[in-house]
Amino acid sequence: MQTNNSKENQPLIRIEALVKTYETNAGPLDALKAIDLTVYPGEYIGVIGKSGAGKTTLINMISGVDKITSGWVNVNGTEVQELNEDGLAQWRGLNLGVIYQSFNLLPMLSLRDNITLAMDFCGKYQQGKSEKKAMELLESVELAEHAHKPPAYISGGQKQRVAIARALANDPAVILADEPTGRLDSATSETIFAIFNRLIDQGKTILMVSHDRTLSRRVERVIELADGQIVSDTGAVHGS
Amino acid sequence: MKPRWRKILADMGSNLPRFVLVILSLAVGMFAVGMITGGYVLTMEDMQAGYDSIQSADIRITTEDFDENLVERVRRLDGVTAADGEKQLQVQMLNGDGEWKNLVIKVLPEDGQKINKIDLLSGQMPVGEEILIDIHRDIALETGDSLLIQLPSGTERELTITGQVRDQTIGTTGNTYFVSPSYGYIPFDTLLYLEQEMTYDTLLVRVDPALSEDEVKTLSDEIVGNVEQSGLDVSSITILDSGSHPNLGYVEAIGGLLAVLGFLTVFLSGFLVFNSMSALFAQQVQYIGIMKAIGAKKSDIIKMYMVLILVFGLIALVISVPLSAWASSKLGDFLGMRLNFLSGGMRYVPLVVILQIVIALILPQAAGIIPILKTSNISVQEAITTTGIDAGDVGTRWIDRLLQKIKGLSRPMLVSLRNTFRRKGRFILTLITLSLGGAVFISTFNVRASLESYTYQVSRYILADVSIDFDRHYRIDEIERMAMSVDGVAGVEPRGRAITQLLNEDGEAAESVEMTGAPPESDLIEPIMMKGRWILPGDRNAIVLNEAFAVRYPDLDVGDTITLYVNRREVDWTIVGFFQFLGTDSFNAYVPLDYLNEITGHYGQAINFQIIASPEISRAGMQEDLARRLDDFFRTEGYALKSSTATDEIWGNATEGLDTLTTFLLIMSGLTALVGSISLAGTMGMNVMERTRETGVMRAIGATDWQVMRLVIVEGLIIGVLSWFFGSLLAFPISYLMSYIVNSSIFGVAGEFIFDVSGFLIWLGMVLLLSLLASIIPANNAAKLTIREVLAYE
Repeated sequence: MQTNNSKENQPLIRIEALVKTYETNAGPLDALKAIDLTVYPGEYIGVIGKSGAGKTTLINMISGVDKITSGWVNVNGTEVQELNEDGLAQWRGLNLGVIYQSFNLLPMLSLRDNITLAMDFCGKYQQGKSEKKAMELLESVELAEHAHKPPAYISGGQKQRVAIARALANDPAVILADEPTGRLDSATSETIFAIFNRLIDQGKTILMVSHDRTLSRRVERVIELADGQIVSDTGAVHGS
Repeated sequence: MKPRWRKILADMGSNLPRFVLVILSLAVGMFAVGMITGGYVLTMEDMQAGYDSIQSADIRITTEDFDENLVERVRRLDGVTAADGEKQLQVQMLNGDGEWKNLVIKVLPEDGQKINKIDLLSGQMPVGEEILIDIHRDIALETGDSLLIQLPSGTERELTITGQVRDQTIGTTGNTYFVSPSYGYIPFDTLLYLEQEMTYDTLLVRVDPALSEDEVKTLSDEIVGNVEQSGLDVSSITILDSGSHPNLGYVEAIGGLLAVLGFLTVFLSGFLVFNSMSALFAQQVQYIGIMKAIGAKKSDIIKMYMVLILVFGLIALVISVPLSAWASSKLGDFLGMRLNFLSGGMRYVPLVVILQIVIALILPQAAGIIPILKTSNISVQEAITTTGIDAGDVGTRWIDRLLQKIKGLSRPMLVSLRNTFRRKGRFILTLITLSLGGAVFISTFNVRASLESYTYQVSRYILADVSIDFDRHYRIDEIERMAMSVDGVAGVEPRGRAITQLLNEDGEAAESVEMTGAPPESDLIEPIMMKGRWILPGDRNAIVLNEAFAVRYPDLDVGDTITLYVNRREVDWTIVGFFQFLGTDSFNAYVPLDYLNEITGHYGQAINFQIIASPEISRAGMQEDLARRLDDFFRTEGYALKSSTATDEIWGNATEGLDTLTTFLLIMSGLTALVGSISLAGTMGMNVMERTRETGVMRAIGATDWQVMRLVIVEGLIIGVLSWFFGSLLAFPISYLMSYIVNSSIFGVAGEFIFDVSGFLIWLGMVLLLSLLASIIPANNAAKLTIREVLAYE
């Protein structure tokens, strides 16, 4: 069990003057406008805001799946903007777990193989060990008995639990979740939140995006975005 | 197995039709290349090996009757490796269909064949009153049957057929293979039974292969000297190309066509594979995004898909190698049967297999690398947030602006039209593939028309209906009178023939020239002039020479004098022109009949007569009946008739060789049409898949199954019609190239470039049908989707 002592450590994510501008047919669109943000290990953060506020863009900047226009993002000592695409892929695989609203499981692979594939790309575990670890992760989300089924054979909530298990495949410090319950009913969403709580208890850092303002009741820290800017940041341990 | 490879394997299982399409595209290309190169290599190898094994003659000398002593003397000459005596008789035979046909009987040497050996295909060698029959003409009789023949004297004899043989030397002298009559082979002793002397009249010689062309000519002169020392007159001397099968020209023509087809097939297959791969990777975009999101490097992605492509290539290789080897052997069997050589059966040609392996390793990787790089370069963000499938947009390019200006069409028709041009890259590749396929298809008809046109032109050398050959000269007025008394004969025109010789550097008789004397005013000959003019009334020693002179003696020109040895004396001739005939290597010449008769001493006589049938006979197509009646008539009247043949029959046989090529061309066109339609089916499948969401929207706003299907089918038909248009344009250069190759190989001349409109029309019908078939399954798939499925797609 982690304690709040860990939150006293060095920042895990540091973002300074982060700008993301998209070129559109209607002209440049500023999705993020000079964002500054610091996240400490073990924090459970909810990023809320209306559609188009820049929530998903922020997640994408942290995970390096989209290019930063200006500013910098440092995750666990790594300057994200300085990595090339392959470097980003490896770094992301080892250091971040990403969870999407639409689950994004590979339909042609079994649940277990969806998890071991993430391990395979990062080469952290040998094959036999990766399979054992994948089964442990599936057990942790109570889906071990479905390990050999393809995603099409399980429900949406179960798929999201597998996506969480996959996000944990390489034991990353940070979990980024983009509307993880957006496609789930409320009862199923509860099981996902329960898993997230457990992960926080295990010391993971979670940054979760949602347009649902009730999320603020479930997390320790709430960052509200509007028009690409942070308009409020409540519950921060150190302030940011 | 690592999960990434399990992913690849699972991909193949979960998207089987598309993977099958890619493998099929590859396999079709590799199969075609394998069949084409294999077929060519096997044919050349078998034809050469078979021809080498029969020890064909290098020198052929016809003379007066001689015995084994002369043969033995020639065998002892330096440079001679083998010599055989031969005798040929031309008789009439009653075939199994009850028709009298020409039969050439060759006499097998007493001590066995050492030169121009026949291959016994079935049965056994003949003894006594027995005969072997060559398989190149079907005489509708079988081994064990009795064959009735009629000798030149009119005597009838029966011979028992003991088996079938293949004589690969048919066509080396005189008539080409396809116009040659049936051949039979009897033992030496049987000559007496056929009222013949126990002698030979032809000397066949094989020489040391190390001898140069000039040395062979010198040796030939020495042999002729020996023959003449024996007190025999030499009728003809022919130096033959013993290394080349007489039908090699056809194989070369087919080889040329195969090369064009091979090149186009690789090209088409490459397009097809590229298109299929692009579609495949378009489908994989989202998965690639996910893999990159969970840690896959670009190199991991590239490696995974390159291995997948390698697997495709290997599967296609495993399918295509044995199939193409089998097809090559079948092609070899077909050509062997039609072109008179023994096919060696199915075997793997290492060179061909290596070529296929190289293609399997290179072609799919080359076709796949661009889509793979393109897909692997898509950012994770783009890959994940979109479906990864770009259905193509109607944009601002000129074609889009043009399409938007089109008025007066129904909305669904406009949708189909605009959809056609949405994926421009894919549309262009499909259009090129289908257009090239169509162009080859159309070209095959044009090539056939060009061949037929040339054959028709050549047939104008003999415009008469029946040609009658006698064994000796007869008075022209007598034969004219007799022939005109036969019902259905409207006119008679004489021909003289003489075997003459070119003179060598020492002024001695060398190679033979077949000289025909014709009345200069004849309107039964319409020659194809290469240079100069035909013989005219008033000409005396004028001569027109065939293309063989132009090839072998390029310095000869109109106005030059050529000296030929005719009837034991040297005669100077003034060359007035060169004519094009069947691309033969033999020397042929036409001269005024009267002057030829003056030299040969056959004043007012001729040995061949061209018969013009009455219009009733011509209209009823009864020339063969007239030929038979003339045959009966002259034999009954006691004339030494050699043969009486309807010219239709001669040209019918001549076109048999061309039929082989035509059949072959049809196979070619079938293959290209297959590749083209697979390409179109792939494209339509991809288009439908990409537009699943749009289809759902259309269904949601009221489109019926048929309306959805119609959108797809019309799009396929538009591509089909456009490809027909471009294919028709492309058919011009391709037809020209193919006609040039075929005509040059067979006739030794570029030939006339003919366009056959039926090829264009048939392909239009076919491409519409293929487009319909290629669109109907994707259209049906689109119509089957429910709105819920479609809108949930992603």
